[in-house]
Amino acid sequence: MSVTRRRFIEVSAAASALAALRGTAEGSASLAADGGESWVKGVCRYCGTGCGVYMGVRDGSVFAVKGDPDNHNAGFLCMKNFLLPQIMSAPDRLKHPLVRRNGELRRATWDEAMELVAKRFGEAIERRGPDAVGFYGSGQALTEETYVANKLFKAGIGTNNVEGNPRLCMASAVGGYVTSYGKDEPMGSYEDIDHADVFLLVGSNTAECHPILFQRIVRRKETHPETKVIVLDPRRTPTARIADLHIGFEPGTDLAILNAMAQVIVAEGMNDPSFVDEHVSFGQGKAADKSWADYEAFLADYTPQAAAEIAGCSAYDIVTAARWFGGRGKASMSMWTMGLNQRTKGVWVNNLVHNLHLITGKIGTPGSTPLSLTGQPNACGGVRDGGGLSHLLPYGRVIANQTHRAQMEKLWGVPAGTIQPKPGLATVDLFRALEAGDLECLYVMCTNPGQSLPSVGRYRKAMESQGSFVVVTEAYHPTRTTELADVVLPAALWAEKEGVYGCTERRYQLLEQAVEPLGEARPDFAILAELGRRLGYGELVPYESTAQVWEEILTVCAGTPYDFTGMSWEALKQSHGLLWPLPEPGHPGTKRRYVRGEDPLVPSDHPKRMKFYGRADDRAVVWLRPQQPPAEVPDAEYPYYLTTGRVIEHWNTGTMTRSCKELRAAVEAMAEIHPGDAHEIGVEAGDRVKIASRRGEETFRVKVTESSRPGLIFVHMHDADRIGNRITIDAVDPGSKQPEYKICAVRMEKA
Amino acid sequence: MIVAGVVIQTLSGAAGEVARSVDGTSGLEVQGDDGNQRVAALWRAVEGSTLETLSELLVASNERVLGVFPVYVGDIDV
Repeated sequence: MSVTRRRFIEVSAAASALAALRGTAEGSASLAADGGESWVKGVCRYCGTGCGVYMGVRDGSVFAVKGDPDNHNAGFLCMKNFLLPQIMSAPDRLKHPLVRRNGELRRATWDEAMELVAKRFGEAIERRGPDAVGFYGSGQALTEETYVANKLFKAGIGTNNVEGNPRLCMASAVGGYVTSYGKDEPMGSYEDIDHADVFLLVGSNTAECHPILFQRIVRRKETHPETKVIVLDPRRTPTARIADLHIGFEPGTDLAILNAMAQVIVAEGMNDPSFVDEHVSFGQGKAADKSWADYEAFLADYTPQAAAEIAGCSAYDIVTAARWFGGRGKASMSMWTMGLNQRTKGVWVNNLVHNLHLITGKIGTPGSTPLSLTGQPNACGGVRDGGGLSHLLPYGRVIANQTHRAQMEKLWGVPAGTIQPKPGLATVDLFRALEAGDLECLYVMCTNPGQSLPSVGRYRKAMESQGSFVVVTEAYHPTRTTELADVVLPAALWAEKEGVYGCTERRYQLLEQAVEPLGEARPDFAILAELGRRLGYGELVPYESTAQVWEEILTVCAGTPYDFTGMSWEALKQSHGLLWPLPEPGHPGTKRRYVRGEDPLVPSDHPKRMKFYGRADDRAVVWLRPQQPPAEVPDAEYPYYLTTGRVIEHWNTGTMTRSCKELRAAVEAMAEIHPGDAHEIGVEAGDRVKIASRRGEETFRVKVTESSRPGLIFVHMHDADRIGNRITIDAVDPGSKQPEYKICAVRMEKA
Repeated sequence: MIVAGVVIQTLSGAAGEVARSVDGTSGLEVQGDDGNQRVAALWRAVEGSTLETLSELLVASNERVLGVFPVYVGDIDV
């Protein structure tokens, strides 16, 4: 390390920070290099915001990252990016395959490992049929990687047991969009933040989980101080620091609050009858066969007073929130994430947010949009859009639809009838099948179910049982999943591979390869193609590069509501992100979907302002969704609510973080409890409590904080040594199949 | 050793006060502020994970701090 290089980095860092005081971080981009380094355009590898980065490369290693000033993040990054230069060479990077022999994971060659994987999968398929195997992928994998897995398993092996961890974080958002508008994915974009007058942040700790978007809200409020921020959250998180109104409530009662906001909007005449008349239907259950009068009658039960009584909040606050959101001439934007999605009523509560936009007509205009926030960098692009779940096929197609299956069979060049007509197992059912022995072999890619599944204890036993065969492709070892695996394959990580990420706002971006994979690591698409060849499906997945896969994907999306055929590899390389629909080369992309004059899939002569073309009648649906309790509520035996969440994303770097001794205590999962509860059970900050549910227990140290409501305990989910998911419930939403991580009943006692 | 250029976002009007309170703590060196709600700083630590956690603690312990936003992160040992 020369002084010149050290100085170069210090000057670059300081200059970038000072330049960023002007509002955009452009300083470092113009700095002269000190020699030998290059900058490669990429995408942040963490949350679903999809921030553009440049990766600094020197001597074959990533030595720096800086924000891309030309991307939506305007050069800013969040705290997680402190980790990026060092994650590539972390001590726990896996550099060679491992195979379990005599109970121990031991080094093996690629050939030995792949031979074993192909043998076990092949035997299981031959003996018990294709549904004896399954795939469990990730919203962190590249689009091309999920695509290859989806094609191999559904069109090759012949099973629809293809799942991914987005089932755990955003399936209910998908259910909400699909039921309300007919097709998945938000219609708005981040740019709407710059036009909104009112923000409704519900079930989202935006400040900590989506900091770049939070910063954009802060900037909007800075330049337009009259902007209102409403935060609906049982806890008072750092997001509430900019709130003009924070409504805390009993977990699971937000359906009542959202219905009450709608009741106030209608009662005070803030609804938009002409928009409703032209664009909206009403429904209950699964049928859109209700009327405005039915909706009004339904809302009569949700007066602010009634809702406040259910939710344990102030009726006045509900009225205030409704008046701000529904105010004439004001642009209103809602954002939400796991607080709504990880619920057994997740789809319903998503519907209720959409209802507020639909009855007021605050949708499809600058600053007025419902925008669900995403937790992983490619959950949208790879898994949701790419159809990497057990009931989906690529780009808006579903397994249950014969026409869609026939389309994909033709596009994939397989005989008619190859794709099974019955959806495969959703995540919790997939792991229950492994537990029951009905699923014999599971291929896990780029995710950590040994820590992240709800009620994880039972599924950990299933993964390590003698009868199951689990192969995991991972960049790191050990994780709480690789420690259970029969085979662990070293996967290339982030800057070591190239492919497309698709983030929250339908923005697709190319992550370019900056460095070679470490050790013997290989990109996941290549590992899957190799498995395909060994199983006899080489012609189905003949790919040599992700660019080749992308070329095929462009033919698969053509003519669908997701059409992005104009996004060639070269166009992605030249751009700083492109928003679909983008049906032809040179199209600028679509900031507001379903809107005449903006969305290329809406005819320019369409007689109405919007066309919700996901539904046959072009109308969105306002659903009548009543307040209903979560799957488990406190009782005499388990008198507290437990909720889980992210404080900050530790991802696979938890090992590195914990290796820093002086900070170990700071990253430890603590039980955050209200002072009144602490007094009641006789504990103080730093004491230990045992928290137990009907499924398992864990011991935590106590943090006493006013941010928790009385009766509510919060534990973050990133501590591999204290796994909160031993306690959480694996009950799922009946529509989305997403588990209710956010709410369960527990007891707590001093340990 | 990680060296990062960061912007600390504060509540409106709190930049100066926050700059004074954080300068010199935990390897953080303030470079300037915008007089309202942004502080520019240079931050050094042996590991990126240390800076991540220190940032988290800064946000958690100071109600006037809304977030820490790196714009450049370099590893001087590479």
